[in-house]
This record gives sequence, C-alpha cells and structure tokens, in this order.
Amino acid sequence: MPITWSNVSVIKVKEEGCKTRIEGLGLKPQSSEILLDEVLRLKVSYRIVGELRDVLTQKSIEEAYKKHDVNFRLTSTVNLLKQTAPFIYRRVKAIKLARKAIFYWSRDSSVESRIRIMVVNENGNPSIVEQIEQLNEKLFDYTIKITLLGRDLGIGEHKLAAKVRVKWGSHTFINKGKAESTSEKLKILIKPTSH
Amino acid sequence: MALIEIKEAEAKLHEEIIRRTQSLCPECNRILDAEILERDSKIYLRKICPEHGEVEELYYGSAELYKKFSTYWRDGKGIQNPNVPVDSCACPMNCGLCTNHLSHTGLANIIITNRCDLTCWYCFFYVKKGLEGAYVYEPTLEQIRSMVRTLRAERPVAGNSIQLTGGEPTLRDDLIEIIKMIKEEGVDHVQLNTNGINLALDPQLAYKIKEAGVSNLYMSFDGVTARTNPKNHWEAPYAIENCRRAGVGVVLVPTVIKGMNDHELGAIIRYAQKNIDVVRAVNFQPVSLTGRMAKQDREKYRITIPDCIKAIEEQTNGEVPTEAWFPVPSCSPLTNFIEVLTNKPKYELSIHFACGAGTYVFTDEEGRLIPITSFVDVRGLIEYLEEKTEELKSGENRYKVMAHMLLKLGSFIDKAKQPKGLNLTKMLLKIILRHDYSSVGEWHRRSLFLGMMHFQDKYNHDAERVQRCDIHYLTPDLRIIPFCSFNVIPEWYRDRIQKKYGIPVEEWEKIHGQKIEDKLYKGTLRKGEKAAYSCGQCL
Ligand code: SF4
Ligand SMILES: [Zn+2]
Repeated sequence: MPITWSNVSVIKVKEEGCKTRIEGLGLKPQSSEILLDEVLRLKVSYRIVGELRDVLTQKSIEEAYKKHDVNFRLTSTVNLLKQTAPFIYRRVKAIKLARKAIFYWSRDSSVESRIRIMVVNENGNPSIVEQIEQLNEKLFDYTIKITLLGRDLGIGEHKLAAKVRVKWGSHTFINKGKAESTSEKLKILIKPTSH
Repeated sequence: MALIEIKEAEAKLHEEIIRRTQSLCPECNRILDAEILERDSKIYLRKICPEHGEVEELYYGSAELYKKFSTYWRDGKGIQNPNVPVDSCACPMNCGLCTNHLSHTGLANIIITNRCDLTCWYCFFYVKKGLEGAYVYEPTLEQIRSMVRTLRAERPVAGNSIQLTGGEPTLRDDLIEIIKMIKEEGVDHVQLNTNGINLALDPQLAYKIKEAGVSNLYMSFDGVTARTNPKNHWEAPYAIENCRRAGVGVVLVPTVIKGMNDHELGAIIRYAQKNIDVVRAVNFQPVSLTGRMAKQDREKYRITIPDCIKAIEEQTNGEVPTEAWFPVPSCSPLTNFIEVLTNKPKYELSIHFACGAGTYVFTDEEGRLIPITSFVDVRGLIEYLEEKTEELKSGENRYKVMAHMLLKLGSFIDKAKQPKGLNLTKMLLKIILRHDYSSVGEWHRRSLFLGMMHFQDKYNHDAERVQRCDIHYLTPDLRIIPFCSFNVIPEWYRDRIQKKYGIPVEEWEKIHGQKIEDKLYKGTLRKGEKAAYSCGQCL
C-alpha cells in the first residue's frame, strides 16, 4: 500500500511518548551504484533519546520489579521506502524487531542492587548489563542491516528513505507511547548487468 | 608448574563469566558466591569455600542452548501469603516458603511413606532398616489433609496439583482414602509417583486409584533393557497394560546417568510412542549427584539437559531435533495473556530457564516422530502473545486485540504439515478467547510430551534456580519447601522433618504387626511365566 510522504516525513509523536524521540536516523548504502543482479547492502542507524531513555534507572527498575513489572519490550518497525512519484512512496522492505529488557532478582553479591537486567536483542542474543549506560546502549542504540537485490528496485535511479517507528507499552516507569522518524532521501543507481 | 596446572590456567584464560549467583559448599553447606562461566561452548559453575577449596561443576552442556533458553527468563509473582516472613535473604535457609520465593507451587509433593518395596543401592529416599536412626515417616490422614489445605490456601493462585510420593506410596494401606480426601479438598490433579510394581502385580489397583481420582502415574522407567532398567524392566509393561485397561495415564520417568542409560533415550521415546494411547509423557531427569562424590566420578556420571537433548536428536535420527525444545518458562506468555484477558491470576510456569525444558511430538502414518516445531512457529507465536499481552496491559481494547488474534493466529500454524485430524488454530482460539479447554483432551490423546527436569545437587546448586522452583514438598509442620532445598540439603529439611514426624522402625513394626521387609518385592514377575512378556524393546 502506498504511503504518502507527507505522512511520514516528520517525526510524529503522539500520546505520552511525546518526550521520547528518534535521533540521528541515517540510511547508508555500502555502495551508491550496483548492478541489477547484485545485492544492495544498507545500514539504518538510530538512537532513541528523551524520556524513555532517561527514565530507566536502577531505582525505577527496582520499583518496577516490586510491582512485578519485569519485562520491558520495545518494538521497532523499519520501513524502507522508495519514491515512485512526487509525494508517493512504496514500501520496498519492512523489518519488525523487538528488544527486551528482563528485570530479575539476582544473587550476585558483588553488586549492591538485587535487581539485574538482561537485555535480549533482536537476534535473540542475551547479555546481562552491568551499568545503566550499558543498558541504554544495548536497548536504545540501533544499527540494522538491510539487504535487497538490485532487481527488487529495477534499473535506474531510485530515491530511498527509511521510516522508523518505535513503540512500547505502559509500565510503572512510563506510559505507552511511540515515536517515528524518517531519514533523508538517498539516491541509488541500479545498472543493467553487463554480459 | 605441573602440566595439569598449566592446562587449567590456560583453560581459565579462555573462559568468560556470564552470570554471578550463590551456591553451597558441598562439604560444609556454607553459602558461597559462585560464577557461571562459559568455556569450550559449555557452561560451568565455580565456587570457592575458604575452608574446603574450589569446586567447579558442569552446569549446562551447551552454551548456545543456555543463552537461547535464558531469553525466556521471567520472574514470577511468588506467593502473597508466605509461611516464613523474612526481611533479608539467607536463601536456602528459610524455606517454607519464604517471602523471597519467586514461584507459587506448580506441583506439590506429599511423601506418604518412606517405606519401599525395592532397595535400589543409589536411592536415599527410603527407610533403611538397621541403620542407626532409621525412621518410618508416614503422616496421618489428618496431617495430610492439613498439608493439602495449606496448599489450597496459597495466594494468589491456590495450589491445584499434587504428587503422592515415597518411598513407594502404594505401600500405604489407606492410599485410596488419601486420594479421595485430596479430591474432596478440591485438588484437580493427583498423580502417583511409583515404581509400578504393585500396579503390575494387582490389576485391580489401577481401577481403584482411577476411581479414587488419580489422573496419572509418574512411573520410574530408566531404560528399555534389563541392564539399564533393573528396577522395573519386567514389571513396567504389566503396569502400563493395567493402566491402559483402567484408563489411567502414564508418565515415564527415566533418571538419566551418563554412561549408564544415556544411549537409550531415543529407545525410551520409541517405547512411549508404541504406547501412546496410555503414555502421556516422558520426563527425563538428568541425575542429581547426591551425597559426597569425587570429581572424577561426577565427571563420569554428570549429564545435563542439553546433553540429553543432543542424545535424543542423535538417537531419533533427527526426528526430535534440538530446535524442538523450549525451556519451561517459555509457556509464560500464554498464561500471562490469559491472565490479562480474564483479569484472574493464573498458574505461571516461572521456574528458572535452566531447570527444565520440553516439547510435544506426534506420530505420522509411517511412525515418524513429528515435533510441534515442524508445523508451528513456536517462537513467533510466543513473541506475538507477548506483544498482545503488552497491548492489553497498556489499555488496548480487548475486542480489537481478540479480533486481530482471530485473523493472525492461523499464520503461525502450517496446516498442511499439522497432524491429520488436529486443528490447532481452533484449539488455541478456544483456549485463548473462550477459555474452553475441551479440545485440549484431543491434543493430549494424540501427542506425547517430552520433558526434562534437572534437579540440583550440592555441586551444581544455584540459588537463583532454587529461589524460582515450583516443585515443592508439603510437610506436616505446614511448610512448603522447594524440591531442591528439601532433597539437596536433607540435613536441614527432608531428614530433619522425617525424623521429627516419624517413628523408629521397631515401633512402627510393633504397631503394625509386620516387618518392613515383609512388603519387599520378591521378583515374582521376573521368575514366572509372565517374564516372557517384556517391554518389546529388549535387545
Ligand atoms: S528457596 Fe525459596 S523458600 Fe527457600 S529460602 Fe530461598 S527463596 Fe525462601
Ligand atoms: Zn566448605
């Protein structure tokens, strides 16, 4: 379904998530020219900043744990868009991913707090974080790889952009919310395969 | 430096500490800090007692599986009315349950006797006549009733599943009365943990326990040959046949010991598959190395959940692959979803991810095993349920969520590959949307549940595991004690309680006018004509 650019071009923040935003959204290709049969590799990077990032502290996590609020889930939907006509964009690829922060009671006596945090990233890899800075990085800083074939776009020059939407539910430390952002447009040239 | 020390030092260079917890010194029971570390793609637990030195033990045979399973970690709500209120934590010294325990009771064990009709050399659970301080522990009917009431009083979720265990519980003359009383107290699920000997010898017993209210047997079954299963190799087929006739389900319970029976895990599953009309599940229990044991002996016998899973994959020709297994807490998203939808507390399977795992298998027309993962995107379904639970918790309209679910649920199930006659989408929708469990019966009739439950010992003891245990013991002092406290530290729990509430063997014999050994199994089925009727898997 085509998405009009006007809907996606600005950071749209609704509900309680208005103080949370997506920062530094960038779409970078490995190469700006490829052949039709080659693979186009792109990197989408962004950071979630503002209220959501600030509100997760050891204290707020412990408060959450006491109320059995033990699993924070953050979903991102990354849409790769191609401009097909002025103000008209078509979705070329969509990636949905979820990161989780699991709060658990640890018997690690080397730290003062009894509540520890395990972050599970979009690939299902877990890691126990030592400090809040680490939690922020693992939960809120993203670099996503997108690959597609030149053939998926077709021969010619294409204008691509990434539209990212993040969403989270209500917790003791934050109300539900979402944030959106769209990257600058990027030009990619797909050339016919030489024989 | 000796070669062995150099090797150990080198190994430590290549290890990574992935979690810190607490454990026990196997010598003096001192609570020690412990490290969970990864080395050579395996997970070890290491601790150092200032008095007795370092102990390092294999904790989990695959680092990859450990990491995958850890992502399902969800701490439970525990119970609202603990019997042992504590301000601080000295786990596992306060069991009862204490304020800090993180799971309510999933299955409550009641030991109704510590007498047994077998005398297995490795068993610590039965009274050994002649030993100093040998006690017969047999709580009275009234004591048992009080224990059951303690379980039913658990909040926010009243305990609803009891296992009668021993010793050998069928040795109690008032077994039927006990079962009936438990049912009267409102417990839905009663299972009987048995070696099956008496059920094999007496075909009427299966009918009697069924009528009294037993749902299934939890029957020891260590292998398919007389060598691996000397305990009940000749008797188990009779017990199963008698249960088949009486309509009592059977769960086979192999204790898995490396080098002893770990080569027969696939054959045990095949045996269960042959009897799928009556065998509901196989629950493998990697051995818990109780008592003192030298490191080299522990290395010889120690086997962990991933090792069993791998062996099963190999021994079923890949029909039950590693990917088919999920840790027990992976069920939480389904129960959490129903809890939020109904706004009523539900059973949560919030045990530690390293304690247990499971999968379901079906049989196709060629007799191949079809794991649930071959027709259900289990991981995708779990993620979806988590997402929808969060939406509901965040105030999303429940009808909107349910409508989405109606449309979406089928996409996780490959209808072409699902076993014939089974409509999983319909069943899930009934459970989730209408809380109607009527079609679950069909699922259970057609499927075989494969489970793993690794009870701990003092060497691999992890306080983070025991704190989340949901298999508990009910005791006459009306405490509820986690399995791995009760049995791992018997000097604090099991033995102390049984001594307090038991009577000396001689006194018991006088009161009952019989000798303990009168009830010992004489091996009749091993000697007579019936011995020819074996389990059908003998080599
Ligand atoms: S195991 Fe559970 S009940 Fe026992 S002391 Fe630890 S937290 Fe308390
Ligand atoms: Zn010690």
